[in-house]
Amino acid sequence: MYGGLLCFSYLILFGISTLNFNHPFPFTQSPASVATWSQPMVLPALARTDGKNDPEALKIRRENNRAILHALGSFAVPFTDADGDWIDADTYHAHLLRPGKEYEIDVHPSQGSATITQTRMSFWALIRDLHGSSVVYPDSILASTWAWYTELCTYVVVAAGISGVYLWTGRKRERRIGLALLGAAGTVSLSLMLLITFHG
Amino acid sequence: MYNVIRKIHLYCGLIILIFLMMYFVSGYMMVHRPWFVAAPPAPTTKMATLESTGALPTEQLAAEVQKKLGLVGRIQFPPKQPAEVTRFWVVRPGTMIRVDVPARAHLIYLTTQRVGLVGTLIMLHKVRGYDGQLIFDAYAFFCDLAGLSMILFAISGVYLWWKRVKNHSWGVLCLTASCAYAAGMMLYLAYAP
Repeated sequence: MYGGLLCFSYLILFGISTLNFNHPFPFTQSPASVATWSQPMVLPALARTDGKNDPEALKIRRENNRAILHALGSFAVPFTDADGDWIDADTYHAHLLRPGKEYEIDVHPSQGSATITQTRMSFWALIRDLHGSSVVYPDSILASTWAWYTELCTYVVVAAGISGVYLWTGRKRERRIGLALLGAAGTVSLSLMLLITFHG
Repeated sequence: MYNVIRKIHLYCGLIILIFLMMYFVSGYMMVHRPWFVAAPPAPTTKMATLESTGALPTEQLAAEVQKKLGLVGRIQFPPKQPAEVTRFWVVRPGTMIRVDVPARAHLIYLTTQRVGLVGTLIMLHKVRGYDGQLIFDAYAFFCDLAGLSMILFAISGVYLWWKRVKNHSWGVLCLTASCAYAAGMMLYLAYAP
């Protein structure tokens, strides 16, 4: 019971985001604001990826992205492993995001500056991004705690499901109707999963 | 009132139990993907002949090819089409078929990638939206039910706890902590630099 109360907000966010994934209404898709600015950015020398093999290039991009975030005083992660690279001799481009925010950053090391485009997501996008988020941000312990909360809520919901069924089986009066509901809905659920898997 | 809410809580729970368990178990696998996902088997490629479809727009061509070859699943397009080839995927949980239709040939290349049990569960987790295909739409409807039930369980659970338990202090503490943490996190993520 107390576990359920502890996960109350997560379940609400989960429910809303699940519905929003299924019904992506236009008003839930647009960003709240987009801002672009240039600022001085002093960085340790960003490494080059020229002539490196894939794992080495990936490691370099990660370190470069991290250095940029650190200089920006922010926390985020690359959109994909491939994100972040030199687009010309003096411009390193990074695409970084976190729930609620997205950054496109062009760093010009020789000028000691960066051009940053920050997209602040809407409330709906923030909720969708938090759905199941388990990202660990090296530059923010607080933001990383959401991953622990996700983990806790998963355990609690599975435990609540099992304990709920156990408690229900102890009640003689509602056993028959419950069994009928569980059997019928369970059969439909499993059939749907099998049908969609084998027949599409 | 208490009995009505309790019955809603119980019956909704029993109806959606299997779906909800699938979502949370597959969600756990997604979060801890390296623990569960093994290397997928090698893809298989085969060719099929295509009778002339004329110069069709990409979406129509994909639908035509899917129908003619009896490929089941949802059609997905890459963000950018490669040169000289129309490419799309026909996806259903457990199976992804990449279809390459060269611009000036009558051969179609089909590359099938299967993903195993864990991959299938993860793909089941990601099925969303309505597109007019009956089974997918029925699945999306259950997905909606799962979403609604989570909201309903949470709210009815709070009501049942409030009515049933005399000493509310621990529950209030848990509930406040939960709401404050989620609201604080959302504000932090939205407004921190």
